[in-house]
Amino acid sequence: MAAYWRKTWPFHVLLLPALVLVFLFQYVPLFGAVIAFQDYEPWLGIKGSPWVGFEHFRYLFTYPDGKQIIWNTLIIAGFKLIANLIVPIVFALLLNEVRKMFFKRFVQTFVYLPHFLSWVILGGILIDILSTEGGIINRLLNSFGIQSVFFLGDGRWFRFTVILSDVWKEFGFSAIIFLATLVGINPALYEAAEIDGATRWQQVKLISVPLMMPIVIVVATLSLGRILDAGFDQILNIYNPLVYSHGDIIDTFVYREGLNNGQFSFGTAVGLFKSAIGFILIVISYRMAFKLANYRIF
Amino acid sequence: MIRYVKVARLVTLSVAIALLPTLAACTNSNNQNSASPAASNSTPSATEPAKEEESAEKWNQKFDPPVTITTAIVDDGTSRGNAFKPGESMEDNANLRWMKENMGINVKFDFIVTKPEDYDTKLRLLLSSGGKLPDAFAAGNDPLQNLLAANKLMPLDEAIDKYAHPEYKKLLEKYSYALGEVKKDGKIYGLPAFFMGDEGTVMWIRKDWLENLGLEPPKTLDDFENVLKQFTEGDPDKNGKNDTIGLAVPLKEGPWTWMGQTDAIVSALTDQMINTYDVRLFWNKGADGKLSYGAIHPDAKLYLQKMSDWMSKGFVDKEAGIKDPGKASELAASGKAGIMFGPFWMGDWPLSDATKNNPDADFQPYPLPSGPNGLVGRAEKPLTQGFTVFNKDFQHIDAWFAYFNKIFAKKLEMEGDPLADPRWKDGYHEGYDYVKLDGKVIKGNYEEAGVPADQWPLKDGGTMDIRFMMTNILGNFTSIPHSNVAAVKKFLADPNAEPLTSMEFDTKQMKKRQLDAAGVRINQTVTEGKNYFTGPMTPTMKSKGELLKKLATESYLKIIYGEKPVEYFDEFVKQWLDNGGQKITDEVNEWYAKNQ
Repeated sequence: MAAYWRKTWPFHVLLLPALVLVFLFQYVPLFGAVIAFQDYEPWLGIKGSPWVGFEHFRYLFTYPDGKQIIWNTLIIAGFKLIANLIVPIVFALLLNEVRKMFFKRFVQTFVYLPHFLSWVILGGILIDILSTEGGIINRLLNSFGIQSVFFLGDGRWFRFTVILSDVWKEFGFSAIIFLATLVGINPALYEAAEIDGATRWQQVKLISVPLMMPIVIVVATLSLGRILDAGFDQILNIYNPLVYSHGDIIDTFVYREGLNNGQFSFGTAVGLFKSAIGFILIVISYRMAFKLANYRIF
Repeated sequence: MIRYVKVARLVTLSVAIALLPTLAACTNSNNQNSASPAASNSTPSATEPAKEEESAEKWNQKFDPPVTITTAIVDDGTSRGNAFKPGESMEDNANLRWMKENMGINVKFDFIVTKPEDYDTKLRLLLSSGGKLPDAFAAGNDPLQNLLAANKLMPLDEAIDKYAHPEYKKLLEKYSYALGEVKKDGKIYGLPAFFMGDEGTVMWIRKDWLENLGLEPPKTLDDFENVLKQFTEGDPDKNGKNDTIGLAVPLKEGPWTWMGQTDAIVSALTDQMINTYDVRLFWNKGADGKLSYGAIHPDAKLYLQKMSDWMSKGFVDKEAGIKDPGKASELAASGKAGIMFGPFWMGDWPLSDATKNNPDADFQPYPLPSGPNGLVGRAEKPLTQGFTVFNKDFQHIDAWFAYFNKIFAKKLEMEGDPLADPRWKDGYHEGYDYVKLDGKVIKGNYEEAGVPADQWPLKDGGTMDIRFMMTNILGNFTSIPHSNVAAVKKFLADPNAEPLTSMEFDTKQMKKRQLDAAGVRINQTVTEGKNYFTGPMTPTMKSKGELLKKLATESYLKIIYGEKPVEYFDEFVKQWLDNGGQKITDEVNEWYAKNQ
């Protein structure tokens, strides 16, 4: 043991600053979460503010629009989670079959560009391209004889628009990790399959997909933890009173209610609630991944 | 509150666009540390007699031993333009040196941050950590209420009485109704920074479209509707395509916002003022002396009926419901819409963009149309843009007022004002906001005026925006409401008139369309609907305000878009009252009874 320490102590010293930082900035602030159970006022501080127990949590659930907001969040986030998993996988598989290197690189770069634009900018662009008068999308629909659709102002279409535009923005970027996995597969497997007479489709089905599964499970597991994040930036920038009933989510609600009115305790309570749900879901999905796919992160 | 941020931004923007060159020019000073000491000494100031006759010359207060005043400020460095000369900064500049030398006031900044959000956070941190607040600083909204509740601020009644400029006292009395936020237990805890109050709505119409169709500018709401119809259906741009509409309007934030607002339509139909996007606006005063929320008044149905009618006929932007004011204005700027309401400054941004895109496009300001019962009017934009508050342990409020009074007197420009500093007769600081050439004061276009390049305030010959330098301990740089009326009239009568006062210098910098619009607004004397509730947010406003705002804005849009019939309004009102609206109404009236 002593010999081990003598050999490795420099590494531990190197690790120390990172540990201290994580402790200071990730763990210590956790104690601030107690204000979720208080009626926090800045001048009274954490020590002096009165305790109110679960009042703020009760408020969220008894708020007249509370149910609708939670429901919107779950629907939007749930569909986003599924779509943001399936689309990049399919896209990665398809792109992997492309043999022209230049084309492959070009497409890859091209589709992940939107990821780097902020929703503030994309929000404005979306309003323009989805416009009912002269927007590209609606003109396209019109040329097929379909009536214009008020994508951003019609409650029935709003969630669909939100999910689709999010997938459009993110799928290229999310595909990178799957593409990397595919590239990492041993070519000998494909060669052997080809010699045995497997078709391309069979190769994809029996080699690519199974070997991608572990990473798919990791990505799915991690994103489950964010099930209550339906995309604050995106929705804040494109929602409007016409679609409140279908598009108002927990985060936009907390933004209006908590930040604009300086209700810090309430904002913290909702944040804590979301983290707790996310934590439980991650634990469950990790257990399931272990049971079903024999996958473990550690 | 978003609205307030927007308004604040807009105001900054409007000031930046419309008044900036003017304000910049109006700041004068005559302390010269480097440029020309001779000039400053030649003004009748003279420091020596001042020492002896301190009481006689009210303007010449010098504190000995010098006092130090601490403050804090937002300075984002990029959007403020030419605020300082190279090498100078918020903490080290000509005005600070001048104050130290001539007034015996040292200014120290406790913190300087780049964003308003950071400023609020800093204040909250100081509160929660029990740190020492600056002596004099700006505060508003939630942090202001926190400071008040924590008893950290100084009551000002006595100091105002003793030290404030008499004219400023009159202003405080006149606009006392707008100061509810800083009143507590009958005392006043903050000094307001006023807006100019000149942003009242005018009607902007494409004059070339009117002419193309042989139409007269609309005088009544019926005329207005006809113009909308013709603009929508009559191909006013003569391009053979059915691609125009009447009115560009943002409805995402309801009937009242900072640009493109439809308060004029509301006012033509009722004497109620309506806003749905903020429970603090508009509280109207009824015949019984009680306040009631405009958005739930039955008269609002008249407005909703009209808008819904126009929406279904395609006279207004079909996508108005998803657009904020900036986005809505693009429709006017791109030549697709012929009418938009809004403040005078729209004559530059955004409407001059229409002319840039098409040289024939000519947006002109017109008086507001009157309704079937002869009603005509607009809403009064809230007059205060923030408050300056004082640490309750601050010892030298007399020194603060000495500086404030000087600035205020300079803005007032009143004959024979004993508080007006003669050293600031021509401007604030020579070589900064003005230069002198052969005895003539020059405040801009230095090159054209023949000023030698080495005397230009800035190397590129541009003007300086000296407000930032002058603000320091003031917290805000206040305007005097409606003080530019005479100047506007003067330049309307003669665009080439010689500007004599700082206000006239400012006004002369306005673009022609802006000046015309300001004139249209001033000449159409109509009542401006006031908001009678100016207090802090009531407890129920805090807990239910967002819900009610959402309910109101959503219900209004549903009716305008025809998703619900106008009769739905009654149901909405019931919901609004049941979900906390009634309680808020009671709280508001309780406040009003106390603070009337």
